Amino acid sequence: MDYSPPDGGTSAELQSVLAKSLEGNLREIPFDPVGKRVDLQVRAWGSYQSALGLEGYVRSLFREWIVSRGGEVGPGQFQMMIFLPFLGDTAVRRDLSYQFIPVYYSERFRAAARMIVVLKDAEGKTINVWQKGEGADSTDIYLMRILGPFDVPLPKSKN
Amino acid sequence: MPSRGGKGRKSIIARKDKILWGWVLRLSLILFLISACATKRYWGPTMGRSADSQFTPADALQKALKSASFDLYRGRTVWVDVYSLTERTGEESAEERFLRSWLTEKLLSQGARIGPSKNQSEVILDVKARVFGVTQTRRDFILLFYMESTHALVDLHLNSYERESGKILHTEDLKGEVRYREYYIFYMIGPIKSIK
Repeated sequence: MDYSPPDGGTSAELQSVLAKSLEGNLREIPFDPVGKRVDLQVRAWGSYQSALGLEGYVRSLFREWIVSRGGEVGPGQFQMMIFLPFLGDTAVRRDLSYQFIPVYYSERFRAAARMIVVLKDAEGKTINVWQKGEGADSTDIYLMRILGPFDVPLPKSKN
Repeated sequence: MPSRGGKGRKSIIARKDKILWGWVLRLSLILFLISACATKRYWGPTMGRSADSQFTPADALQKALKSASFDLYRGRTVWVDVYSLTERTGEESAEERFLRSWLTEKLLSQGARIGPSKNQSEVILDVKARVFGVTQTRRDFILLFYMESTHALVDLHLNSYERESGKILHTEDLKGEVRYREYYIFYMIGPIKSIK
């Protein structure tokens, strides 16, 4: 019987770069929630068969961000629509062998994300639209396929 | 006469050529047909999530929760919400379900009560699993040495909110990791196991 090998679930590295990318995007929102009541709506597309998990994660992230800065979450003064048109990753593998001897091997994970935040007032009038695409990187380098992984500082990705 | 004989020989050669070409065509057709084959392709039966990928995150979670204290919630009604970036087909992923149940047990064992619904609870424990999974690495030194490493990482960010006011009661980060390695020598001797 030709069994497919068992799988390992969603890779820890992938989850880590996606989480870093989301937190990086959140850091630069030009909105001060102190004393404001904000209704949160999150819409994501794609991502791991169902977008529900990602929407829940981002809603929880924003909720913490608003409350920790002295705001409140719930229907009221403001409505914040958060769109995630894409959040995913690309994996690049580099392999250099000489005469069947593996000399250099590297794997690079790059998260690509775009977050659009639309801020509306209680009447539904758009106050501000903010867009950000902060990525995140993770690279493992191996020599002779036996030594490593080595962490190499990489230039910040731009989206 | 010689011209008639020549014509007859020509027609015999032409007939022989025709027969020969006929056989060449038939043979080509046979060769063409026998080289073809109908193939039904499918993935083999699945073996599901590997045992290594299951026990290592479970051990890493135990390590992460070792230092956690839920005394703050003693005697209070708590509702646990878990969010992660793991794959799913429905609303809740397998990792989230497991984490929620594990944390519920931990809370109950430390004197907290679990609310029947979110609206009937005093505290909402919001858990973001930044990472709950494994990274697998294979190391290979031609013929001599082969190793497979499963590195499980659990990185949780806990926030508890007072349901009525919506205010943050407590924030905590919990991390745990486990490395499981299997070594093989000459691709034959082993596995020699190591867990840290």
